Order: sequence, then C-alpha cells, then structure tokens
Amino acid sequence: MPDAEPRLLGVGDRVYRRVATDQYVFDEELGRNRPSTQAFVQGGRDGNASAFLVSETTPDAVAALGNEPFMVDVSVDLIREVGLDLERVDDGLPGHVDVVGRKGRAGLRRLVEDARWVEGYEPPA
Amino acid sequence: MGFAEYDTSGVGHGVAPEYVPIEETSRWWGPPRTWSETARIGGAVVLPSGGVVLVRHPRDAKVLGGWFAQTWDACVHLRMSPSDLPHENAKLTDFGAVMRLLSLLGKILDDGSPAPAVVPTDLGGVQAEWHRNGLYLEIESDPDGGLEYYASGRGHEYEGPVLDDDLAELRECARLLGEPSSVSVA
Repeated sequence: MPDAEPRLLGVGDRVYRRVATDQYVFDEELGRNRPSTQAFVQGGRDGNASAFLVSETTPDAVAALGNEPFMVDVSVDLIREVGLDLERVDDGLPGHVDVVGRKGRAGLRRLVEDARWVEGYEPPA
Repeated sequence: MGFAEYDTSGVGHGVAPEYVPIEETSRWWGPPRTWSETARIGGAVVLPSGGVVLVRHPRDAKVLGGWFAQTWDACVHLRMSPSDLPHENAKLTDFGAVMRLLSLLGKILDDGSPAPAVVPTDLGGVQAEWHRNGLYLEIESDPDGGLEYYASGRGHEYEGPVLDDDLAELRECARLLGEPSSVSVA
C-alpha cells in the first residue's frame, strides 16, 4: 500500500521571524510600528528566508540565534496562500524552516499585514 | 534649470558645474564606494523643480527641509559600516542605490510631500515606503541600478519596474499620499 501523501509542514501553525533594528517602520495608517516587507527578504527575492515554527520552539531560543532584536510571527497558511512554501532545515535547530519561493511584493505586503509582534520582542513604541 | 550648492563642511574638491545630471555625479566627484566616502564627497539629487542640489556633507541637506532632509537623514543612518549589518550575508548600503532613489523621489514628490520611511535591503539596496490615506507605496532601489515599485489601494494595484518615461502612476500615488490625512478612505 503506497504511503499516504505527506502532510504539509506547519499547517495551522505560525512561524517566528526575527526583524532587524532597521527593518521596521512606523505605519502612519495603522498608527503603530510594523515590519517592512524587507524584513521577509533574505539574500534577494529568490533567497530562502529563515523562520521557526512556533509550535516547536520559543521566542527566546530563536532570539539567541541572531543579532536581530525584534521578532514577529506570521501564519504558515498565509505564507502558502501567497505562493511561498516551507522547507525543513536539518541543522538541529528546533523548528527551523526556510520560507522558499519568489518573494513578490504583493505577497510580502500581505505577510506584513498579518505579522504580529512577539511579546518581549517588540520595537519601542 | 536651478542649481544650489551647500558646502559648510569645508571639504570637497573640484569646481561645481552649473548642472550635474545624476548620472554624471560620480564622474565629477569621483566614484564613491563607501558611506564614509559619501560623507566626504557628497552627491547630487534632482529636485521637483528640476534643479540639482549637490550635497557635500550629510548635514548640508538639512537646509533644504521637507521630505528631502528627512529622507536624507534616514539614508545616512542606513548600513554604513560592518557593525550595522545584522547578519553575515547582509551588505552595506550602496551609495548609488540611495542617490538613484532620491533622484526618483525628486521627480515624483512635491515640496510638501510626506517623507517616506526608509529601509535598507540585505543586498545593499534601499526601500522607501509610505502607508497613508488608504494607499500603500513602496519603491526599491537596487545596487545594480534597478528601480521597482508596488502600489496598493485607492484604485491602484501595480507591481513592477519604474519606467523613467512613464512616471504618471507614481506621481498620482505621490499626490494621493500628500493629501491631508482627513480625507483618508482606509
């Protein structure tokens, strides 16, 4: 009997994404800070963007891995909805995934709208 | 064609010509490659009036006021030195990318336009973005010379390259962004 089709990675989950000091902005329309779309681009629009499954790790563990002081979480389902996908990174880091695919501006804009600051990792108001 | 030069820093070299097209500035002022050189040498920006301002030092830009001063201030705080880089694959902000962006903004913004938020890209480019009056606009300038934009809202939905001979859409977006906030239709 053939194997069942593998379950998509992270369905219903969210991913943590670190945000650099200079890649968030004050949004006049929203009246608050939000990440720039550039916070989801790493190594060019076709580059893989590192992220971490919320269900498999903690913000503190993710923060300890990089220099970026801020962090958001974003819906995995929305990531797929905008034409991107997740791939597991086998480096031993819990929950480590790459967001793969061409990072179009309209899609990234939707991710920014969905992004929520992680408690304890918000930029100053 | 208007021209103004601000040089309070006492540095710089050469005799400023009356008009310097943005493409010619590196020939006049040497080929700036780092931000420290930029601070020393300066650059040129095309203004809405069609004039060109040579800026020999970042602080000189402040005398101009408005969106230009705010944007320039933001640009000189981008990734200027290795200590500014958040990770090992990020690159220093490219002088040419900044100047191309400022020059484009000079062609589409009015003196009273709101200044954009300015964000560095990991590849050394720079992105200007606004979200105001129900309209979102971002413009990215790459180190390789590419300029792209994305507009969404108020009947605008576009993602693609900036075409120098067709800036009507961008100018209309800039006009909407500059309306008094009380007419917001978000």
